[in-house]
Amino acid sequence: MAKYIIKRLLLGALTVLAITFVMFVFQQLLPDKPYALLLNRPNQSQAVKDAIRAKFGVDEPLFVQYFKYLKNVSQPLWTWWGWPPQLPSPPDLGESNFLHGPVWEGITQRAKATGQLMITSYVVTLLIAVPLGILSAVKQYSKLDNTVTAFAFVGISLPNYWFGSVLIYLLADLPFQHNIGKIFPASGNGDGSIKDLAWHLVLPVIVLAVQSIAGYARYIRASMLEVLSQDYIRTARAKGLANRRVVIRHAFRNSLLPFITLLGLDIPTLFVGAIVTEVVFSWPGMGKLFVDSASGNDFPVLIGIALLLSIFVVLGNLIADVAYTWADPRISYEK
Amino acid sequence: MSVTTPTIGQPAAPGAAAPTIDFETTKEIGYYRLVWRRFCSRRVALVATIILGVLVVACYLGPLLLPGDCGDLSQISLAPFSTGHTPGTFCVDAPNNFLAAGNHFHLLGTDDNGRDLLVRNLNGGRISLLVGASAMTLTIFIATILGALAGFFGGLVDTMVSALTNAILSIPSILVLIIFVKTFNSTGNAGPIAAVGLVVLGIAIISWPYTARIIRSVILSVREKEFVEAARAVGTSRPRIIVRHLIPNALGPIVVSASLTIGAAILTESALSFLGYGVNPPTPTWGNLLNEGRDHLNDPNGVGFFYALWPGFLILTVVLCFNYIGDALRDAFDPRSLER
Repeated sequence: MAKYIIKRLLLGALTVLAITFVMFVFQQLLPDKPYALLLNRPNQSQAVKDAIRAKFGVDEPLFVQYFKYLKNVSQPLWTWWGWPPQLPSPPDLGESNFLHGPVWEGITQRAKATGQLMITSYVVTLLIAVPLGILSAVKQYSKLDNTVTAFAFVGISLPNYWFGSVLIYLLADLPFQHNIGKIFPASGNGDGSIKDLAWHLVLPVIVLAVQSIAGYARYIRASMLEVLSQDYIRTARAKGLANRRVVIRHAFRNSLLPFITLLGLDIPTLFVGAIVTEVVFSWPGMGKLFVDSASGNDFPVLIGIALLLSIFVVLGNLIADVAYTWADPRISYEK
Repeated sequence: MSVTTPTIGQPAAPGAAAPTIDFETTKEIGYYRLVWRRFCSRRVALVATIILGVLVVACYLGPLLLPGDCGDLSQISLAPFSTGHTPGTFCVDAPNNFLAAGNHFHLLGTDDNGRDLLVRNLNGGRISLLVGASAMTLTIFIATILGALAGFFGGLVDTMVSALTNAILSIPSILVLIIFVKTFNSTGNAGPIAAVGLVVLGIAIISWPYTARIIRSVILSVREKEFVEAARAVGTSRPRIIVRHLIPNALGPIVVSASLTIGAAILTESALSFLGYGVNPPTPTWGNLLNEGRDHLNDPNGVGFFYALWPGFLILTVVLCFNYIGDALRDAFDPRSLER
């Protein structure tokens, strides 16, 4: 197992390196560099130009820049070294061109808002999708099952920014025009109090949850049906167990196994949903930061977000795979 | 491995062996006819196909029959990249027509430049459907080649393809796309053909891994079958084995993922256009129209809310149709999934 984990970690590190390197190359390909304006002043001496290039760290070859970047990013791995040992300093992702500060600070400030949104919507999703999936599997082809399936298809096909805009119009703008006041706020994440935050969370969470409930309910349904057709379920029924007990204790617990992998794989898709949703609702999270930085050519932030995210994805997948062997001893990665 | 009584000359279907199918498997009908029959037995899928057909015809031929953007027939073009509006010209009656509500002449109303929204929606549909179809073709092309190579040769090729697959799947696709478009069209000045091509290429780059994985696993499972060994024994070359014996067996999954990929591609394109990194305006796509319409959501009189409503509704309809068709195709190619 240890060998497998180490192999996966090495492969994952390679992936992350490849992703950041490609981003670095893309940054070089960009025609309008963020510092281009500074270099275009009239009567600018070569020394000043060089100084500006040096300030932005672009006076050196690409590979040197890249290795410097890697060295700064891996800072927490080696800065504790020494006597007495110190607290490791946070990774240095460079300076943002627009946030007027280190990229790391910009990202961590926004991470909180994203976390609030994602965790809430994920909890809501699970609370609704799991019972729906179980029920529609147990009562296959019933009215409920057909409704859930139809809903799932619509949910998967729904353009979520459009759904969000329609919700904003119907639940915030339209009542406001008719002097009822906004039923739900349309943008931002409130003034910091928990009550206000919850109020602002309603619409974006609906948008995010509708989409993921659709996918999850279908997934759980399929996985439950698979398990319900197994011999041991027939055995459990044959020995006279109550239907409820068979479904919950025998079927549902086993149907959770493939679910573990899904959880690990879903981190990136959850974030994708959040990028568009955050923009629609002006939610001050990482997704909005990413889109804003992209429009401002702020590549240090883009690379930083992609780097952190791909690390999370690699780790998430690995943890899911390892948890799977722990939950289902029949699976083994050893050859 | 094929239907219960295999008919001569039909390729074996992966996973088609299911003794409990209640379809007419014992009759001497071909495999693909059987698939077609099973597909037709799904009423939802048939309805979806018809709706989709009507929409495609409407998008490509509709603008011909309607008065142009400005009610001027001379401005209509069948070319897929037509914006339906000659740059630098203005609609004669435009000032009275900005953001007008739907009327007998402009059925869906007019946009902020006085252009007819029905025509713009249909023209946008041309681009959106074109992006979906070409992204799908490119995706399937890349995925089939790489998936088949990885599955057939294994070893180093397989490792390299798998590493590439994992790398691409490791970052959320919309992130990659934004950076991709940003890098190669940073000024937003690319012509319509270049912009569409860039978006198509980007979507194909992020979506081939999903299909390639499926194709690889099918090829892996068929590779050791007797008929492949027989083909090898009579001296068939390796490229021929891949093209004539292995890929036909993966046809079911390929067709299914083609259908699902179109839907996903249309959705991705519109999300990208919505964020401002898709095909740049004035070329209409459903995503662009939606994005423009969002600015006018609150206009109290005139087209207002409906400006953004229609393109979104069209996206939803088309993607829903493709998903239903893909689902029905999956059941038709793999009857085992019907038992569920």
